[in-house]
Amino acid sequence: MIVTSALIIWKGLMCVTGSESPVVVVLSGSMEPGFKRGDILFLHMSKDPIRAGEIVVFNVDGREIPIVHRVIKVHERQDTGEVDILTKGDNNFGDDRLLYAHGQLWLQRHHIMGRAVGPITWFMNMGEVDYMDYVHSGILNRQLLDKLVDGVGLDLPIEFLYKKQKLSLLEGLVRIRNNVDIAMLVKNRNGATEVDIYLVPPTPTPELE
Amino acid sequence: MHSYVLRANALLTFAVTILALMCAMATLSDNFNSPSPASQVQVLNIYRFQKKRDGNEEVSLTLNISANLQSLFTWNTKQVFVFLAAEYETPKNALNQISLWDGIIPSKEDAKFWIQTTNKYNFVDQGSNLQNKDFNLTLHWHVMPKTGKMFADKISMTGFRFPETYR
Repeated sequence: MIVTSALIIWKGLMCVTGSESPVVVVLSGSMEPGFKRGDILFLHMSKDPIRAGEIVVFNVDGREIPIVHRVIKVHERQDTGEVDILTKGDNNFGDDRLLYAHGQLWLQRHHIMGRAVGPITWFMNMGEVDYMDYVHSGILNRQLLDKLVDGVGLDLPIEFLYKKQKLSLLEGLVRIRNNVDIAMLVKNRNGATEVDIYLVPPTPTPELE
Repeated sequence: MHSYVLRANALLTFAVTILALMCAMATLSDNFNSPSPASQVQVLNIYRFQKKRDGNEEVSLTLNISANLQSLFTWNTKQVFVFLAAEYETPKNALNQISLWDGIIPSKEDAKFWIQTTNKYNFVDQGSNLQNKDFNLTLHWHVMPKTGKMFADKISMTGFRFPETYR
């Protein structure tokens, strides 16, 4: 009964919104306090031009996880109507250029999967889990962990980290699976091993001017 | 319905349906709110107007922004995201929108505000078309509900102009 209804609703939404994935889950805290991790967003993609202030969902080339951020800059061409777009998460300090592909300064319309229409706050976010629990429970990607334990600060773009974050359970598991975003710094402080978790962009900072 | 599993299934479906209905009602109640926002923006000073090495012009300015957005808040409002965008047209681009400043208003009390600030995000044109050009400053707001449909609106203030010479 539930599965069938859910399927009907899902397919119905796909038709109505004209989008391939009409519902996304917010994975990171970069749009807080408006969208919290675990919130469900309904998307809609129309032919209307993209304007500043809209919350869009986009995929960066080569990355699997869609990102939900707000458009802060728009440059629309006179003749073709094509747009250059810059996005930023409300809760982030800087714009998303660090997240885009190497050398990419703008997003275009074909990157955009849909516009967020409305959220449903979903109480799936069971509070934040300290990463120490992950280390001890062995869920973490062992390859990554070994690489880091061997050499602190070797070859890792630690200088590009944004901020240290506690991640929710869902986000942590998704990021581990995609093996792109997490670096850990294992330090020996007074004989005790400590793990700090940093979010590292998958590509190095693009050369701007 | 005789087994526990079937009964639990039916109960859960019913609960989810009721939840969805309540969310829908919550968002519908937002339609009864008729807001009357007001805002005023002054450009205090354009203190930098330069052409960079890559050929793009950059502007830095200080702004005075005051607004009263209290009427936008309902019981279903989580926050209001407000931002000020400069809008102008160039020969190459039919529309350029650059966000200069944004803020999050978490509650009704904070919705009546006055701030003086420089532009938070760099104001860079694609090219060098800004000299002596008219531009609008539009205050946009995005009402983000606890549950349901978001809606956005704006107030456009016209009559601003870039300087003729670099400084």
